[in-house]
Amino acid sequence: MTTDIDSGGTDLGSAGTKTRFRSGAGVYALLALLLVAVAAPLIAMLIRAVTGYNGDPSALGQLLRPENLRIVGNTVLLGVLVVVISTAMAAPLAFLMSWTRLRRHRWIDIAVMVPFLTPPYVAAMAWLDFTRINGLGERWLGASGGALVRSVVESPVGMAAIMSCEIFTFLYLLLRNRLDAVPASLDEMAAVAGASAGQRFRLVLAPLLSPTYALGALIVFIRAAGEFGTPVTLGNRIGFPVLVSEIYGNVTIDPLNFPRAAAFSTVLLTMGMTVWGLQQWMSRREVPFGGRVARRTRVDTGWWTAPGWLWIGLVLLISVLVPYISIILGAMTVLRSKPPSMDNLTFDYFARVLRPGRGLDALQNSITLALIAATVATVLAVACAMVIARRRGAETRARATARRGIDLLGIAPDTVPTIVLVIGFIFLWNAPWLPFTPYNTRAMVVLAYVVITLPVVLQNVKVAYAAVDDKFLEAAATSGATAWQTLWRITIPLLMPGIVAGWLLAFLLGVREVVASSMVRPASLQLLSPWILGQFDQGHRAEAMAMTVIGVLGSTVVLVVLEWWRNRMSEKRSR
Amino acid sequence: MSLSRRAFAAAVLASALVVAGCGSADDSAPAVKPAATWTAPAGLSGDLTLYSANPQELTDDLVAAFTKASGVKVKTFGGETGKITAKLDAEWQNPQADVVYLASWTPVAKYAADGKALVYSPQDADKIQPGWADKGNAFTGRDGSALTIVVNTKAAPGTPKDWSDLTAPEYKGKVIMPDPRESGTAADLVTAMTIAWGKDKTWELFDKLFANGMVVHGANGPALDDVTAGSHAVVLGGVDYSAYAAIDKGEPLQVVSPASGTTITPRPVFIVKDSKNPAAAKALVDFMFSPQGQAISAARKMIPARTDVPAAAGTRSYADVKQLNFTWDQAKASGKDVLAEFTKRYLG
Repeated sequence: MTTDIDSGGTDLGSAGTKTRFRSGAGVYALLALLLVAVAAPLIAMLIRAVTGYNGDPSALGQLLRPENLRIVGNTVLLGVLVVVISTAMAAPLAFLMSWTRLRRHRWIDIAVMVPFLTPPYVAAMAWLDFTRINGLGERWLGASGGALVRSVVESPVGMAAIMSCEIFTFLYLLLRNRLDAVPASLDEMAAVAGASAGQRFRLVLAPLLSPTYALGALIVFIRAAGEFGTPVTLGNRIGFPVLVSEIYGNVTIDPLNFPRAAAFSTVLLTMGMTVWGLQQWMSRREVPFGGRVARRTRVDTGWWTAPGWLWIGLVLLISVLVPYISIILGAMTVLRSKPPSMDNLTFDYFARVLRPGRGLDALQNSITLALIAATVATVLAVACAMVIARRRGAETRARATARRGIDLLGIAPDTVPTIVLVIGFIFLWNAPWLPFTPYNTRAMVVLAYVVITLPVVLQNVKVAYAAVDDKFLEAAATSGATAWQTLWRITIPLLMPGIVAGWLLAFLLGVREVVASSMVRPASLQLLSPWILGQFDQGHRAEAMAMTVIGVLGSTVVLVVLEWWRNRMSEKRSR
Repeated sequence: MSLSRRAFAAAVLASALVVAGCGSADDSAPAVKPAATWTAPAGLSGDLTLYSANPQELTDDLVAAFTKASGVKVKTFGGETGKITAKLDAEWQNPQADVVYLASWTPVAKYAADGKALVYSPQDADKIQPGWADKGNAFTGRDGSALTIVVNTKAAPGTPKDWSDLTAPEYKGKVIMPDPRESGTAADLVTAMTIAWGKDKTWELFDKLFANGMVVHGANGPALDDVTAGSHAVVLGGVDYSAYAAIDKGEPLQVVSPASGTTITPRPVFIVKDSKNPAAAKALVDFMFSPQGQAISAARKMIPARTDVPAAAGTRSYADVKQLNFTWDQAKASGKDVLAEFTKRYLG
């Protein structure tokens, strides 16, 4: 999870001697792959937005109606609120965990991952359960305290806060990895030159961080605009419709209206592309850090340590503690009508959901498919990142366009809500004229996961790539390393922290993914999130919560093992 | 090391004590083993895909019994009605399902009108509740659920007898209704009321209910959960079978069939016209309407479609539920407009 540029780049001296890596046809092959995997389903969906489908006419003309404009306005408002709240949560945390002594406490890193591992609708349900009338909130905080928390949660700000709890992890990881990579010398030079803390922040840190922050804010905004769990569970309840809840309604609530969903999706797509354009413009100012970065910055916080702990505590309270008290109690409650006393709590549900034929198959399938998909997505993302970043010397116009196309397609899946992408998948891959198709096989689920998680992995690899100084590659070229030597011995090791982080995120996202898992899974293939959702729908609340806990615990184990392995690797290297 | 080991041992001991002190939860095994057995026609082969928007256990029971009797493997895709219709609609150019079994009448009626369902009248069609078979025989309701008033006896001030009782001051802020935009059955109930009573009388009732602090949110499951947990005391228009299942578990709930009438939603099944294995699909539908298939529904607290299969003990049978005076054809015709008006009046 952590990016330690220093440990990544220690054995550079041993680069071989031959020619430089050149990717000619590779660029176009990659582009073609992405066009089929990403662009084609979106086009299949857009065609329906224009032509209509199944007897319903195109709905593009309705977009400018006042009630629809209000929905667009709500979406932007929600996105901005989530960006603001996520920043407030992530930025101080990233600073504390990168530059201060608090970074020794690695459990915090694990803890902030927990909300990210939780299926999004479960977190919203947990909060609603905590704040409901006669719920835990009222029991612990009194009637008026409970009512106060409820009024906050059941508002657009509360909705944004719940979504931030899940999304801020992206921003936190990006910012912390970037801060980790800032060489101590940069800050110290400024300090020696007599710059005040404020000046150091304004003149050194802010310019170094702003492209990364822009990238993170983009992910947060787009995820907030495209995530349906909280809007559907909480937003519909408080009458705060956003684009994605409307799209979800149009494709899941009778009467279905695909063209209307497709029309709203084009708005989201446009919104995503605009934000992407802004981010592109910002990231031109990305600053690579100089050659050997051996030492990380450390700031003495002095008496500011206490407020630091307070902030971490607050973030963990709202993102982990409260929802998980609700989830765990939910998983253990025998009778929903009785308060959680000893004789009304049981561990039975945990064992029950793990029986074969119950939830065990779902868990195993989700883990296997997510593992495969994360690996494929990572390989793809590394290829994309290398192609996108390489811009040296003269380049034909066609190749430059191909490169930009890859960049855009790599992030495009994040600019549309998954449900739209998935419906595009069905339109495309279930077309009767296809000679062969992965539709209705496990490969379809893997393909869907790969496309959905590609942007996240790509962001991580890109950030790692941005921190790689060209000097290394130039040095390799000068010493005459072959393309593969450069790739295996220099680029990949330097990118490793980003690759591992990206792979892990993709794996975890795959395990908890709900929309594609529900819609394109072949009949009879059980998957984790649809299983949990199905249990909720059928009134088996305890089973659903128990499986959530098991899923999150399992993911946490993967996280901890990987972190342990990574630490061991970096210890070995520094020896 | 030894300290952490001791701490670990203490933790194990403590959790063992916690486990020992905890209660336990009954597993929901099927209550009734159906006596009747169905015989499959000879010569069936291949497999089938069933899209089913039903309680998972009911689907599992049905499929297991059918496969045992016929040797035909059934792949099931389960989910809410909305998810299944979305998948069906996206797949019409190349349908994957052979048999579809949904919890809502209107979408199936639309598919039948569009010619997407195979015309087939199941065996023993004469024993099925009147009005539950489509006139064109494109689909048939195979079991049903009544919309009732579900009361949490611990939280409610009394036992209401009819919808209008919930407008009384003692129910202020204690009533929840599933959102008709999300719950097809709740939308059907409102539509049926406007047909049976006229719009003026229906809106008068809902004006009073909303003035009395009734809230509308979520689909059927969340609304029942909310009342079971005691946040509200009464579900207006709750599906009966999930309430019966909760009562079996030991929750203090009571199912009231309203005196002035309600709806029993037949849950329709149809064969997709382009089914690649129509013989097996027809056999599955026949099985679903056989005494054995019907008894499986009854065991899961559904109202059977066959008049000669009894409802499960402790549940109300078809005859015990007073129904509103309407037909499903009428409901299909005006449903969309009624829902739009309801949404505009109360949820805008």
